[in-house]
Amino acid sequence: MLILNPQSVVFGSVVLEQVTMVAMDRVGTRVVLEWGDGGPHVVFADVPEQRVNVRVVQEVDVVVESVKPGDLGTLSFVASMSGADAGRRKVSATAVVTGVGYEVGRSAASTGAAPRAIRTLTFVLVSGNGATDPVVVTEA
Amino acid sequence: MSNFEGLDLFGSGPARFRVMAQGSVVVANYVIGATPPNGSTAHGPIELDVVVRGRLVATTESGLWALREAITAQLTDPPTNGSLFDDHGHKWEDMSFIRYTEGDRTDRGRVKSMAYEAVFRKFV
Repeated sequence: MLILNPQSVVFGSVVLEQVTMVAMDRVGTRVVLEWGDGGPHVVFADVPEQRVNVRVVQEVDVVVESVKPGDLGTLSFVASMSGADAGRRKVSATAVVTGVGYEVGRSAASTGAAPRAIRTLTFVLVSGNGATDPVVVTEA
Repeated sequence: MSNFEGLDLFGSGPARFRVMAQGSVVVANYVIGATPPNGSTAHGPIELDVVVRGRLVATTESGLWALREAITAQLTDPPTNGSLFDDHGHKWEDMSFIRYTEGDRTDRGRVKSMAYEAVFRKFV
């Protein structure tokens, strides 16, 4: 799932401003593959352990260490397909911060604007019981 | 379809059959006090082991337990003695089911599954 320019992103009590992108990746961390005695091809495949990672990229003017690795909270954002109010969806999940990184973006060549700092927050989503998908999508 | 004494124990998922070492039991002479001490002595044929490694697969937790219990029910004392067939119809006669070992976890993804190893021995 990739959301460009979400209308709002909140983690716990922290409102994340100027978010340019939210990317949600699902990764199979344990993939079971089995072959049988019938021939060379895989006859069974399953992913019994997986992880949902979220990256939140925002432009920041003033660096404030408001979020740190290990922090636990509800991560939520509202998105719509067209940027309009119609079809808005709220995505929320319990999340733990796994990283906070910074880099300097390129300046806008046409305007000569100064480069801006870009902060990338990474999260891993947590399921309440291991069986329920940690991502909850509701009508906004 | 593989089976042991006509029971389809391994058919819920993939299974592979392995025939273990064959030949003679050889013991170093110094162990048994025979001469010359640096030699060895044959003590008859190795008991044939056939090892089945596979994965039990079910859609429910109870279904997986049923598969596991169907296998362990064959671990009798004395061991059950019968014919073992692989998926290609090869038959080993007079095999005794002597050991069943499961993997370190139940895998709960799209289905419930459990890796296992079952050992059958042809006693001399």
